Amino acid sequence: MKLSALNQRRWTNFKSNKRAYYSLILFALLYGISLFAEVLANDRPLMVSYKGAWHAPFVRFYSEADFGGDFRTEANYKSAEVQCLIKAGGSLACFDDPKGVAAEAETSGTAAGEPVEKGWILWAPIPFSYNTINDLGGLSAPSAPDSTHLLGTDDTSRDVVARVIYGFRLSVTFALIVTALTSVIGIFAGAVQGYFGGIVDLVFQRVIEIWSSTPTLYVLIIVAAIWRMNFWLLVGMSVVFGWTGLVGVVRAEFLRARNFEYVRAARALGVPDHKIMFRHVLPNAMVATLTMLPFIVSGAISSLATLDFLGFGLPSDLPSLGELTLQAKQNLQTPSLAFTAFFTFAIMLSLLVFIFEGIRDAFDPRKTFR
Amino acid sequence: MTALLKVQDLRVTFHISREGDMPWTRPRPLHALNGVNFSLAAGETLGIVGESGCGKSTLARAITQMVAAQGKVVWNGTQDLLALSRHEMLPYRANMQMIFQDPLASLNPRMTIGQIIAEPLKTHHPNLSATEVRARVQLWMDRVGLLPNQINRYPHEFSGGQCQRIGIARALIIEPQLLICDEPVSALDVSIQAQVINLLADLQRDLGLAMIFIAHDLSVVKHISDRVMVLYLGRVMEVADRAALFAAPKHPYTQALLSAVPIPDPIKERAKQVIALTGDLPSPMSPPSGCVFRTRCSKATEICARVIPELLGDSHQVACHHAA
Repeated sequence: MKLSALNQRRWTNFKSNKRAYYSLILFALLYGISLFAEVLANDRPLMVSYKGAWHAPFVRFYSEADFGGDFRTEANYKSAEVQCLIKAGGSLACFDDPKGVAAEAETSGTAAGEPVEKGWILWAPIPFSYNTINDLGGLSAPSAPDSTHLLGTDDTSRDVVARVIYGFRLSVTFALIVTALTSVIGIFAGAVQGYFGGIVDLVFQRVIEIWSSTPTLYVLIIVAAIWRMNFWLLVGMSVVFGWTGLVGVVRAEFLRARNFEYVRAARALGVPDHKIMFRHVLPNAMVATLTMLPFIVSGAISSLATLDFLGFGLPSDLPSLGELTLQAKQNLQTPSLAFTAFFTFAIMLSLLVFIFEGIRDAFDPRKTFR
Repeated sequence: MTALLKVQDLRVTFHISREGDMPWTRPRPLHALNGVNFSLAAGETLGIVGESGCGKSTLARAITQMVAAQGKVVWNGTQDLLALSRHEMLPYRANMQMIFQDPLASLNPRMTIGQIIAEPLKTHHPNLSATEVRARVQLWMDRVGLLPNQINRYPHEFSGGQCQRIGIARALIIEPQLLICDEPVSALDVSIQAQVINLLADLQRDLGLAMIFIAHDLSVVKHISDRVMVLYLGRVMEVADRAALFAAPKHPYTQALLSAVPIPDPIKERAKQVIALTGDLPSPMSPPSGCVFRTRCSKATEICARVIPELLGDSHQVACHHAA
């Protein structure tokens, strides 16, 4: 795909803003990595070799019976017995002395004297998922950072690193989806309102005033009481109550632009209204619109965090940075929680704001760059 | 011969509500155009002159239906354009194009020259192939004196004169029969004005265009028009052939306007008798009774306040009780 001349210029402009450019690279890297969170932090092994056959438990279900055990439930890969069964090719000796047999199979290739097919387990770099409840071996939860849990664990002894990785992905995805949807609706509504003006504008503006003064939190609490809160429901609620944010700016831009001479010229040519709106006016209203976007993105992230903090957001088994913040408040004896939450939010929001600032400047035709 | 465009009793009324009016207070009418009549033959140029606020631009916008108007605008002796819906109007728009006062402002800053000039083609002939569109755009860029390599530039990279050439190319690419020029040269330098006027005159001769040429510069109007119409406060004061009007203006207002044109000869200029108009243009919200010009007219008598003068005469029409 080749960029048009104008977009090439915008890209060059964007790149010449070093802070925005490096923020974009860093953010893309972080978000890209977090998209592969399942490979990065998982309590099920990435790959298992059992009797020479390879299995990928992080994407597929395997019962303990598949590895020569008794239960038809999912294999508990953390347990010494299952680990021994895999490593010793399903030897029944594992049920007596799992650790010893596993060590024997690894060194000599036998189990209780009999030769077995050796197996292995490949773990993710962080062998905990966001909802793994870990055995802290006597430590009380939340625990401080140590070599197994780099940022410690939270008050349900879940690994904080894993939760931050998954939580980052969830927050950013949420923000991007909400921003995209609210922008589309908001720009469309603002465009119609501003372009046609008059009675359309008057009526629509009153409707928006009433709508945007709805107490969102109460509605959310009611909705959460009726249905179990989930990601898409929360996205839907945020869009339904958030689209009015952009309308004002877009409307103002269209009200201004509809009397521009080139819009009049297009009208005199007989260009249809929708083409005038989206080909002539919108591109020129884009700078003001883009100015609002960073606020919408960071607003979406913080509103998700706020709801989680207050307990009206996502259920607590989902990875949430807001819930981490709440735990930090409740567990002042473990400051690692608070620092983690603070730096995650600070870095995430700063990067996003820097990026959108760069985008806005790059779209401004009157701005010159070195 | 039927006229290409016949305007009958054209009225444009704006409704103005004042700041702080109650919602039930009826907005006050402002008669921007009050019963304008004229006709335009194919290939003819009608110059329209008048002070600021006399309704020149409103007239152009009323004909192109950019403001709501009452009366009749008859195209080719058959179709009343004001009776048409927006959609039905579309084929007529292709025959009726406009050039604007501020050349740069009338071009979308985010579109290239090629896109701007091609837009009317794409609107009125959507079936043309991309190569055909491009060929026509280049043909017209050449005709108005733009270089072919400028096709991908943006409006702000051009001077005012060049922008007006772009505007002319855009207006003429779909080969209209009528071109409405709303003060096309007022924003340009005098030397550039001459170039643009000559370009317009050449194109008009080649294409057999009819033109409505709005200006407040009488020398420009004198140069390009076949007939001249003088507007004052939304009413026609005088319509005549160019030669007749400039040689022997009959309406006191026209006389005053013409006497204000500077003569490029200091001796004659000093000897010239200027008829100075006193006072400002009256508010169009409350125009004077009778003849609208009477408040500033040196010849005004009692009848002027009572009776609205009609536009009388055959080839040289004038609306004055005391026409010279």
